[in-house]
Amino acid sequence: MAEVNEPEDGVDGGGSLLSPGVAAGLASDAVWAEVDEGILDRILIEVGEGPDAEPIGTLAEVGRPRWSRNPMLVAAAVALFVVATVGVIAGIRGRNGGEVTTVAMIGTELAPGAGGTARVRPTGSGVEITLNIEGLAPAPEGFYYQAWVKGPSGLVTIGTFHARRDAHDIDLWSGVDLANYPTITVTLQREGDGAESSGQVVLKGEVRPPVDTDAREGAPGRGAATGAGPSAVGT
Amino acid sequence: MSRVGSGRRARRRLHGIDSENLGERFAAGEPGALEAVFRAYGGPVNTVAMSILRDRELAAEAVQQTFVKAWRAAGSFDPRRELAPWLYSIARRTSLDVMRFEGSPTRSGHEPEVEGSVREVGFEPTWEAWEIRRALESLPAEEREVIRLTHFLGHSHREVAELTGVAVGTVKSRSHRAHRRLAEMLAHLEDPGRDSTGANSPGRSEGSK
Repeated sequence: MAEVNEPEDGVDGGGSLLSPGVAAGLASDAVWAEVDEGILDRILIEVGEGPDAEPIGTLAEVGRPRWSRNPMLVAAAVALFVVATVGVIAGIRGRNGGEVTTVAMIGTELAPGAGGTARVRPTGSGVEITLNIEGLAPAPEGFYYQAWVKGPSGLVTIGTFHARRDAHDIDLWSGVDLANYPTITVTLQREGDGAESSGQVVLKGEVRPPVDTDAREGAPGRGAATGAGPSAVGT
Repeated sequence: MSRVGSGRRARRRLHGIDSENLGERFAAGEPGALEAVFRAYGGPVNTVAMSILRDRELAAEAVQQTFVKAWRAAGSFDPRRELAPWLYSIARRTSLDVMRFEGSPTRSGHEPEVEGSVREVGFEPTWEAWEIRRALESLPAEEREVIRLTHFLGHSHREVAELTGVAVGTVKSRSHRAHRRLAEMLAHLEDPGRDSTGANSPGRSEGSK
């Protein structure tokens, strides 16, 4: 933090009116950081002209988010889009035209009355996941809920929330490909216990892989389980 | 720090950025509302992102995602409430999400059996930075410049006078006015208990962890 030089003639320029905290804030890079001129254009491109407009779908290469410049992530997003549009329970048109996959979220024995949906929507810079949950008790004081995606490659957090307000959408975001992390879970976490999962899963759902039509025809029982009803794992 | 004037009056002025029915226009998804909100809050959102991420490129990503998320959720915003705390919460949560992703072991090719540790960023410091940025942006340009040159770059009033080509007395006058305005607008930061309504703090609301 830079110190404010006192006026040479001893006249207070007003610096003493500010608290040390505010003075420290005024000396921080973050407070004076200029906003990238191109951000507004990128925002408008990503959303179209309004919330009901069709998305343009691709961003100009210059100024694209770092995530979307990663070929692996782009490929993952494409793969996820294919999964989302082919094999899951409900491909519906979202508010802004993006394809949305709806995954059933089922309460575990720790929260048997809880349930709802996770709407999964690939974007140019990751995967937008929106939880709409009912029956989940607000996180007790000192605790919070944490959402994760997991699969054979491991476990990655996608956001935290408290559920202390009335039912509403909880916006989460994943930078990893849900094809490799198909299970969505919500755990109850104690504040201050660190970044690892507590293992206390209260909700769970699963993004299903594409339905194999041939296999379904050859094995009716499997097809029925894969293709109909909410895709979810109970525990 | 001396308290000058009415904090509530000053906060109304600070929060007057929500005027001109910007919240209503935004909630209604009116054309141009997103751009107007960006121009009003792009700086503070960037400040929150920089406070958390300490990286211009990552902060730019967080700013972009913040406004995209906000716009997509605009229909759920209650225009009777202030837009600033709502937007602040989205900005903070989005920045933390970006940080978590960047800190994820998957980024460095490690096996992600365990989620990468995330540096905890306090709630109050980012909110204070947001408020300071908003207060600065409400200052006249010449007063804001004096604050930048003295507090951020560490120049004396005499040096500021030389740099800006105005009399030292003018610099001091601008400095005093600027500090007085900032003190008024930011009085609530030194004693949050003064505002028992919580109207000027987003609180530890959803996603604020």
